Amino acid sequence: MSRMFNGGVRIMNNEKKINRERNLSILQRELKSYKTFLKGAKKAKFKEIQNSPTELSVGDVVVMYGSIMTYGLVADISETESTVVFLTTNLLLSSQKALKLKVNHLISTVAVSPIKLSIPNEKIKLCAEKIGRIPEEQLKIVLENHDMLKKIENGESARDLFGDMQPQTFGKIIQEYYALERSRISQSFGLDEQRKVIQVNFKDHFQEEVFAKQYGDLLAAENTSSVSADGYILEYDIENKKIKVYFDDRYIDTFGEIEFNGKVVYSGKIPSILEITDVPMILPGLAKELMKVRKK
Amino acid sequence: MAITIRNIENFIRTGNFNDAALEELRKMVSFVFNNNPEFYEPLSRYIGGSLLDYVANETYFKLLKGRKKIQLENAFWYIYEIIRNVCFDIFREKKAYEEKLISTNSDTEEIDDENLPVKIVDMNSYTAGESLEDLLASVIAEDALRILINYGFKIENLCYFIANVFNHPTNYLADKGRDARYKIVERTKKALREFAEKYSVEEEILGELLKLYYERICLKSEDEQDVQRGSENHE
Repeated sequence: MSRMFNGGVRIMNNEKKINRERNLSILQRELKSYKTFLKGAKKAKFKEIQNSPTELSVGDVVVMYGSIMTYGLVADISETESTVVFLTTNLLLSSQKALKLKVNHLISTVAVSPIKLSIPNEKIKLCAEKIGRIPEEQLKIVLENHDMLKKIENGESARDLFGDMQPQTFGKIIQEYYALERSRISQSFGLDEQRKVIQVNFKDHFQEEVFAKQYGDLLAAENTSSVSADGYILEYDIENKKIKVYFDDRYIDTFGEIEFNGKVVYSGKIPSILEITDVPMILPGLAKELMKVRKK
Repeated sequence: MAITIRNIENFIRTGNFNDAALEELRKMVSFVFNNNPEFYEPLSRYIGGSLLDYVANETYFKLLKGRKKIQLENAFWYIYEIIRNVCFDIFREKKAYEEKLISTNSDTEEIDDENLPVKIVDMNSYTAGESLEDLLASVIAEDALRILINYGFKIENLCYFIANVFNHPTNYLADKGRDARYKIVERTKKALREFAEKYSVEEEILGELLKLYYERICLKSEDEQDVQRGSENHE
């Protein structure tokens, strides 16, 4: 009897799922497929290029080969590091305001993005392959476009379509795409390994049984392993039972407080990555709900 | 992943392309299409029944030229990305595609990879109110319209609001007082902003979307009201 009942529930759930799918917008579907890629592709650091090291100069367009081909534009070079503006390949999830560039490679069209990272020269020279150059007079236009996108991502106010001053935004879906891309690229360079990671232990703050009782069914693994919030990405690492929080520039090195499930688990300078270890299996969505970050 | 690409992987390694590899490539193209059917349907309508073949063909040429760059361990995702970019290109370069249809075999032109200048494709000259020449953006706007219609806005409120934005004379909410209309405008604006945030409807698209809604829903429903009023007067 109970089995029949459960079967009924399952059918209803399937119907609900189909209806939900129908209601997804094109961009929501695209983000879903992008997350399938993040999950399905073999995690790979950018490969070393055979004829490396590559001598780079400002204006060069480069490609790196990792879990996918990743394009970038060298915006600045110092003695120790190169600043690269990344060029995204998903034109649906890229902002409408992003300039599109034609490149002669496996991919033909890429879009300027708000993602800019400083990469140590010894790293980028080994894995970047030069595929083109942006003429000087156009380089300025491209970099201005990047700056404009960065301002939108940071929520700077501007007059909107209705004539009011409002914080600018790409909206949730595009914002999440850029956040996940930034973290994918930075991981492919192995930049996180050099970054400051702070670990806190879940068991120092919570009793596992009480937590399990409180959230019951919500403590399960989910297909998508990461979610983005305003200013950080949260990921549940099933293998190591860890919640990893990757903060972006808005938080890193500022003073703040990180609260989880109603308790302050960290207070001080916000690191690049905060890891909460020994966490029972948890839906990233729930972890996001339970986390609060406050600047002091 | 249900799709195996053993023969394509072999092609990447050896350069030998056979029917089995072509079949795998076609399966990958349909896999990409099925992941976002609402996006690929208009593309298919635009190109006709041969979209799958066209995309598979273009992807094949890209692979032929750049197969050595593909990382075998993630070959599936490299090809997946190439397929999608080929589709984006069709959307973005409607004109170029039409020219290509006329002059065949333009692919045989050999380009030297070294230091090829990178070009800016478009300068984003779009301003709100203009019609979108960019097919990609207009597909996104059409899709946003589908979502907006089912979002729960009261037609008369949204129509009044849009008429105001476009400075268009309107009879919507004529029975409401000034204060009530003001409140409705403020509420609608707030709800539209929330809608745009949730579905990432950027300003360029939002302008087009409101125009579409006005043309397809508001003007039509105004006509119907007029017809109704006309028949009431007769009685």
